Amino acid sequence: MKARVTRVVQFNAVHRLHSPALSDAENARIYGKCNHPNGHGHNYVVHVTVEGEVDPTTGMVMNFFDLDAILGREVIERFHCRSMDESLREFGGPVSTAENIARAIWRILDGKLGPGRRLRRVAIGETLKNSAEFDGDEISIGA
Amino acid sequence: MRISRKLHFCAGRRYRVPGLDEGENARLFGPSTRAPGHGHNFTCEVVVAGAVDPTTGMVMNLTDLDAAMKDVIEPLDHKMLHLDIAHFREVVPTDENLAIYIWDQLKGRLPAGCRLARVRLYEDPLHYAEYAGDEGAA
Repeated sequence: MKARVTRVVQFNAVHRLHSPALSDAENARIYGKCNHPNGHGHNYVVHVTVEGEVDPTTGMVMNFFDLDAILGREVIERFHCRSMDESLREFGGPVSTAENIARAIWRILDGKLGPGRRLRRVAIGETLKNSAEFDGDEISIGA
Repeated sequence: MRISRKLHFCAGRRYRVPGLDEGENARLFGPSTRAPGHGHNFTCEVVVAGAVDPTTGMVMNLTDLDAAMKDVIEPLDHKMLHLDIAHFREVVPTDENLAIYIWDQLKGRLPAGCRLARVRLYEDPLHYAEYAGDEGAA
């Protein structure tokens, strides 16, 4: 039987929405207060969904202890109390929208979850009012 | 009677005591002293105490409370607190100091007969600091 499990982790980071492809005036118009020069920050909430067969012995798709260890190493240590803009530089420095953060975390976790399992969804909650979900339908990280 | 109102804001901050070296700041604040900082979705909950007006049935009109809170809190929204807010260039922008700052800014903006009873400043749903005015040595 196939099932999906989801684990939620949280980290706190700063960011600024600013695209080098746009003029300062366009950045200000498009991103509004999120373009403020010194940046601002959020409690980011990450929902990671893993799909796989339910192990008949353990009753689990994936042990949450194992998933937590991966999320701690790959997500929390990388992003917590840091700048999202700097952390995303290795992915081409895309604007640190929730969409681009979801795609970056997808790329970080994809293929690291063990045999027989696949990453099904990465969702980023930026505030209580907005979030982005990525199901891996395209892997390239846009600028 | 007491009424309360919440307002949300998002901001970044860095914990750093200017007079201390990096090692001391790291010992005191851990990852929270890292440059350029970290951020939160803050919630500020304000409690106002007063008598219920027999005509309006209100302690204070929530629209007026909302306006007073926005005057104080909106300047903090989408800012880096330790860089953009003059007060927090001198004072570490902890939850405690944010609650005290909002209290001090807000208390003079309430109508006669109403008293600021409490300011609670949440950095996330699990952690907050609360200030109810100078409670002396208690």
